[in-house]
Amino acid sequence: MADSVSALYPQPAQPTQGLLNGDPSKLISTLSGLNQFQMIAKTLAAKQAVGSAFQQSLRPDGTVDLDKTADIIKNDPNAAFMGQEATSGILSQRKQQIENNTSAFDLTAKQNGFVQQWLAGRSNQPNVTSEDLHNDAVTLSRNTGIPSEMINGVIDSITNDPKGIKNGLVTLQNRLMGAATAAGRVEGPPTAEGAPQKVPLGAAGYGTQAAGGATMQTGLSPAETAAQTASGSASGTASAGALGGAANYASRVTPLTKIVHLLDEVGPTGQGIGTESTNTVKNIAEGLGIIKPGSTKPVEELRKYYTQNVLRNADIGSTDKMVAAFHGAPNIDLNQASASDLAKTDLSLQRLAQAQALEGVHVPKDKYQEWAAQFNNQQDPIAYGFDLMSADAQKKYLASMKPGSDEYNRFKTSLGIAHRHKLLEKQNGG
Amino acid sequence: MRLSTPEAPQKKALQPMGQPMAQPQTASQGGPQQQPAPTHSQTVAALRHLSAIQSELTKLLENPNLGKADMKSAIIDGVTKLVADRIVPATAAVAKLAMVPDRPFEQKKWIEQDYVQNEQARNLVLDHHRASAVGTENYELENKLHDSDPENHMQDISAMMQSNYKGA
Repeated sequence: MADSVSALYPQPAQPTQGLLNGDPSKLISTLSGLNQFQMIAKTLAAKQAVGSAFQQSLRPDGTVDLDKTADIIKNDPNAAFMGQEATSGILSQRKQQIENNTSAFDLTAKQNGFVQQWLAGRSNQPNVTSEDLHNDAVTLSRNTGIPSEMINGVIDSITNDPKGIKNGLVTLQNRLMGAATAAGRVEGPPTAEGAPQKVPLGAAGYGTQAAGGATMQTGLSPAETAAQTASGSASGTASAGALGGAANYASRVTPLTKIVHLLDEVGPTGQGIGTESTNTVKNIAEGLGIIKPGSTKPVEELRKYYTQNVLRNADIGSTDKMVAAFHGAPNIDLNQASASDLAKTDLSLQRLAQAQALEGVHVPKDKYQEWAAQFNNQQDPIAYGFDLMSADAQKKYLASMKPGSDEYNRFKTSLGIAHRHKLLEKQNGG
Repeated sequence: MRLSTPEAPQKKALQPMGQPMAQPQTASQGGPQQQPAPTHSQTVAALRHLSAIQSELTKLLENPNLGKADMKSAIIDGVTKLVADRIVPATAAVAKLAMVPDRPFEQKKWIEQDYVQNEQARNLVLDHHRASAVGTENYELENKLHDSDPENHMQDISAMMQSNYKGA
């Protein structure tokens, strides 16, 4: 009788074999009646229907006839409810559960000082382990009113972050601080070269490498500062030198121009020695200190002088091209060039230097050197001596360029600049 | 006639989340003995334990052959890893492996059930700890209570089962 009466009372859940003896997972086997996952319970019937479909589709060898399973699921309303479950599995459900818990956690944690303290502490810690997070779960459980399911969900989302625990913590911290706060910039760690930089607050925790393009350099590294000082100094010197040279342009170029014309008259070998032209060349050159007084071979000495000048002021490739252009014969190089060709080349280079000085007058001093290098690359020095060429040499030079080509455009641009600054004697270039 | 069983207090202790655990009853009050809550390190050990199992179960659930082919080999691998990591004792692992169903579909169902139970256990043990342990809400002080040691995992689990979940 006693047995039959006691049978009327609710009986406790009987212990079932869990994963392991003496294992906490066995604990819940005995307590499975306490269902904290109502959603799982609600879907149980549907899962059973899906399970039944699989069961009916089992072949004798234990494999599943998936076509038959799909057909049964299609025709069973209960199974249809969990149709997705049948294919995506329980992990999808768990993933969704974690997402829901994380969202709910965010709302709660924003109001909870303890959670924020925890997150701030852990996010700034370099090597957080899963053991730390287990401790945190227990601490959070004890000190906050956040449900255990939510805590475990959040800890799972941190632990399973594809980029690691650290990344998971910072991501959670950013979510809690909100997009607006996370976007604000703070002083970040310096670059590898030591330059200061700012990073978005939200990216600060990930480290600059992870922050990638979000970092903003706000100053120069010590090495860059030193380089800038040196470069700026050199650039300033170059700028000052160019302007100084520009001021003396007329005094340098006027006698040179005269020499160029006289050399044209005396011919390449100076046959006209003793003539007025040759005497004038000799006097001018002696007056400028280019040749020694009393020279018997003034033209030859001028040739040597301008060869050195040209070599000093132009690169080897362009000097050959220039003397050839002025001579009107492509096979002429620096060694074979006449004094006249060399003087014209020198004069052209002097004009180019003047154009550079005048064009660069508004360029900041610290940028001048860089700008000048770019300017020179965009110029054709021959254009600055185009007026010194014979008509035949001009035609030949123009014919050597294809209209619209880079070199043609460079020539045209250079000629335009030479005209603008009135550097050419005769306005006949181009 | 009994109105409650030795397991009943455990049910109270592991009520749905957010509800406080009933105060332990003493024998003098005429009620049964309340199961004590696990300590901080024991609770951490339980979470460590269940997380390790969850990780292995997840691998099995992610296996595309689950439910279609015999997974016994993969299950043995997972359990072996747990033994190697000193999460579970070898004897318990052998007992568990003896329970693996033969048919693929039943294996899937068996693994899914374990997974769900494992998840429930994580929440229940945390609830149980929270129900009796009162936090100071002082972060620095609480941090000093982090005294868990993975090296003592087996001992912590064993002690917890003996003192807190005896009969489970």
